[in-house]
Amino acid sequence: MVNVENTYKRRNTLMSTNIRKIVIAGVMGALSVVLSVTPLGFFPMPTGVSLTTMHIPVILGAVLEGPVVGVVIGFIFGIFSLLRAAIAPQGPADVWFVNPLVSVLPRLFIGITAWLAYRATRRIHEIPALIIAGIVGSLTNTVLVLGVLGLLRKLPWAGIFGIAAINGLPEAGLSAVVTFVIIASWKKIETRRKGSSI
Amino acid sequence: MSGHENVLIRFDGVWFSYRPDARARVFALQDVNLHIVEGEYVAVVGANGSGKSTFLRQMNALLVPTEGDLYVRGWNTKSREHLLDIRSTVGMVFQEPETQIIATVVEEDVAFGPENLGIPETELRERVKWALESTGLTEMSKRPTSLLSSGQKQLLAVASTLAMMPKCLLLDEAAAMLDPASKRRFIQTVETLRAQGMTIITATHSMEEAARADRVLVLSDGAIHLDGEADWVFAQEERLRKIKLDLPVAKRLAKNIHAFSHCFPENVLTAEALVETLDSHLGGKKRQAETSRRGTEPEKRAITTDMPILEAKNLFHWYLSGTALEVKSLHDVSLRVYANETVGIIGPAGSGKSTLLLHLNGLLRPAQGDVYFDGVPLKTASVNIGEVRSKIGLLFQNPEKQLFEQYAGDDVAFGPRNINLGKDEVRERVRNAMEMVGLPFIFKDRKTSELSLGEKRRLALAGILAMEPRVLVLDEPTASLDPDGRRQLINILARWNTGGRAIVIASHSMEDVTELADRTYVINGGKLITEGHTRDVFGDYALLVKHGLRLPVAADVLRQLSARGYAVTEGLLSVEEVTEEIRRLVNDETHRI
Amino acid sequence: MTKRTEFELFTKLSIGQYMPTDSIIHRIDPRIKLVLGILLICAAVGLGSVLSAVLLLIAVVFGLLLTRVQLRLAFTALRPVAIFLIILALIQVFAVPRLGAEDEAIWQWRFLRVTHESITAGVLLILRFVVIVLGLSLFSFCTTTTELTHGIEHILRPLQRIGFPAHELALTVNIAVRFIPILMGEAEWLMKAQASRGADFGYGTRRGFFRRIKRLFPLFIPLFAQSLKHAYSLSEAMEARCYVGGRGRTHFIRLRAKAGDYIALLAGISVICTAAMIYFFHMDQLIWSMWKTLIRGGIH
Repeated sequence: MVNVENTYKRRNTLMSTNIRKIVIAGVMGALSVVLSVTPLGFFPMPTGVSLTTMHIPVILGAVLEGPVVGVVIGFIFGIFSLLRAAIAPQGPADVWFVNPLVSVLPRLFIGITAWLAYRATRRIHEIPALIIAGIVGSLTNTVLVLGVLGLLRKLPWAGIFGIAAINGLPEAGLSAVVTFVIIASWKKIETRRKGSSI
Repeated sequence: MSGHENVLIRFDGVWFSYRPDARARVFALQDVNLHIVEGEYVAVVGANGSGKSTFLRQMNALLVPTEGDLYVRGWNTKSREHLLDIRSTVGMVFQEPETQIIATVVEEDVAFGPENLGIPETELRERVKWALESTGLTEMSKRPTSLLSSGQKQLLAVASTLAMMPKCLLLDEAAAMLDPASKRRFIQTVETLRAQGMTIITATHSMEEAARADRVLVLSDGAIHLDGEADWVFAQEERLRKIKLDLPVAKRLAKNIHAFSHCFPENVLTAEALVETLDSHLGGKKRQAETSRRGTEPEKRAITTDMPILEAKNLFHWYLSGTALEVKSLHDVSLRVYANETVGIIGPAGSGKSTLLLHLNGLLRPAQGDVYFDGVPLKTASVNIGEVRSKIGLLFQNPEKQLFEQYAGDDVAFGPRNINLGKDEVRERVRNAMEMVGLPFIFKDRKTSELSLGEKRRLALAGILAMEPRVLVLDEPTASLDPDGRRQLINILARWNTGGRAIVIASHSMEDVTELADRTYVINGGKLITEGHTRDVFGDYALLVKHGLRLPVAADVLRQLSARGYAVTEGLLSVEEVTEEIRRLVNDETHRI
Repeated sequence: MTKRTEFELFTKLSIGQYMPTDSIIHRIDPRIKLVLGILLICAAVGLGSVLSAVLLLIAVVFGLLLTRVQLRLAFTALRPVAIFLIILALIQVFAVPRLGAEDEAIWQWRFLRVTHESITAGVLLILRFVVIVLGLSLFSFCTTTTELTHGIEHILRPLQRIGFPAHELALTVNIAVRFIPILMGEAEWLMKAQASRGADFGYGTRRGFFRRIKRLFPLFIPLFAQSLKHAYSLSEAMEARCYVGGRGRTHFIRLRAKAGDYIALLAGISVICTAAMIYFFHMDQLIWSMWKTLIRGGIH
């Protein structure tokens, strides 16, 4: 079998970056959808409300392939949450998510901010850059969605700040860890030890 | 291979490295010089990691040489100008059915290639129609691609490539993931195309497939080890053995026969050819059919009257129950596994084998019936399902997918850690498990991603063995392995099955099942068709064929002889046994003279 | 009956059932359905008038009747959220402070205040939601995803000439749709395989935040690795089939709009324009005051 990791971004190949971007965007978009409909997308917390992970593929796609791909994945994520809210609504959030300003618009920015954060901090070191990208991407999701809800006067601002703190912060932490672990494992970045822990 | 025919592909001093800028370059291809002429049928063989895939990808410019040049129809693959010309002249079908299909409707996928080439619309329709006809998929034109079987998907991949009207078809182990029936259909389709003039270059692990080609290239460590006609290549037994490749079974039989009957030709490669040759060699003097004798087994394991370790009783299972898409996947299936035995499960694709396996360790719950481990039913609330899962180890198909730790040792430790063992005990178990699968304990610090396919497969098995199960359940354990990898795995399994343990193995590989299993179950359509001692089950050829199964190659030779009127003992399965039987036939014939 | 274990994920995949009843709506050109769908959502969200919303609702219900799919099916989608809907509407009515001019409170108690505006807001919340749910269900009953991606690609195609990557985007959506079942399968496989090794995704136990996150690794890491591997295989296949972008491609499928499609488009647009006019000309205020005068006139 071709060694995938080695051939991913090489120069002695005539494989175009465009195809790679299209495919990553599609596959990460699909991953986001899959997370939304399986238990993998929901990380339950003792508070009772779950943290979600479906925005993480947006961050991953943006970190790997750039902001445009991030926007496209964000778009797919947003549209799917809208469709789901409309066709098979399940919870209170879905009532708001039928509005594209709430479900689609904020998600377009996740990839952009995550990418910017990643690029800015990458000079220092790869590992903190991934962590920061995860945090920033997740907070963008939280802040913008809640922000739109507030501006549209769907929720009182007091409630919004509460949700942002109780849910948004741990969710950012979760995103940071997952982003870091996944990309580090993919790119074979040395984490801490030089061998197994046995 | 005179120079006078049309040279389609020419390798000129080609070297290839995946990391050309690294200080110490490792070459995946070394100094390849050869040509391929239009209309040739070439097989490329070699162990995993020998460079087959890399070699193939040079020819449609997915990869370009690091040093040296490659010419397709005179165009240099490094030139971007002719990239599309090259790729539409040399098409490629990949191993995985799922990920080479792009569109959601069959005919649209076929159209994708020529659309990209800007073929005008009327011609597009013509091409799509023709390509679907050539692969027998015309009725499927408007179907959603996700509803096709794996075999159909691979045929679709061929059609989609054909639509670009290539001169050459590269097959990268394209039939490797297919069940035997689909595999046969696929190879037939390819050979029909070949008869129509298509150049075929196929990379494969199956020596039987390779034996059908005109020319065989043997790769080892990136270099061309052997290059010549199939007859000649497979006669180089020593050199093949050195790089751990097998001979086709028919050839091995021919060699054995030649050993005691020197006028018998050695260079027979396929089962059909062998049978033909034997028929004429035996002078057509067919003996009267005696009552056929049953083969006596050297050590027939008696069925004990003890309680089985693992038993499934009357399992019923439905998928998507309650919805319009409900599918009955198991219908009254029962199974027994006793200590110290290996049980095989065979059946065509979609027969329910995998579903059955998933019930054996409680991952799926039957709608009716139950599974009993040491007499205790799994459905009982008091049963600690976690403990059950460590006692019944299940190794999935392509288990390498489950490896996630960065370092190999940690991944093996995952299982033992999950059952809360102490640090030292975990270490012990990991060491034992790794040694049992032939991986030295030092490998624990190796990066999982750097292991070869065979090593990863064994690592995944070690992860299961580290939980010290009593029953090992395996789903297609040798899928995609090269002959050496397969041999290693079979040996590991045979060695492990001692001291009160048991193995259940579901496989499409009849060779695996006949080698390992004492008893075999045949499943089709979710129902149990038959069960019994492996020899008895494989002795009923009519039944096997009815359910889309076949005999291992050696046994099939005897069956074909029997069909021609020779009296052969039933139930012989291995190459050695078959050789003996043929010797008996030959000697009996000569006595008569 | 079967107590399904947690591993059978595919049952959850049916979002928006395609019902092959082959009605008039099914046969409408997907581009038109797409355009109307988007306009519907924009109208429902943007037009803050109860009367407009009611008009849209009537139009949508009419459309649903045309599809010959049981009306009941569309409404069952609303059931799980009915309660939340009401609660959120009540929040709008009572608790959300209004920006801008302080309207006179019809009713007030501490921080809860009810105004004309807030009642409208509450009613609108419900109406908008119902319109969008029914509307999108309507479209999902009679459009396949394949038709949808064709529709998207065709609409964007003229932009290809000015360099906008229309085909690339349509292809991305197509790939996403193709990969959803593939990745679902991988996710399900991983859950089963890791469970067989004793992995406990026991979210219930609360043994530390970061320790619980660690339990996700045996699922997330391989899932992502597999996704990328599939992505790589797919890109090889696309390369091998000479994909070079949207420019210069010919097309196997050509959508051709027929007269009936244009009529449907016209009908849809006129409904939306009417709704818009109702909103912009404050017609419901007009009608409300007319109604009030009528009542007063009637009483007298």
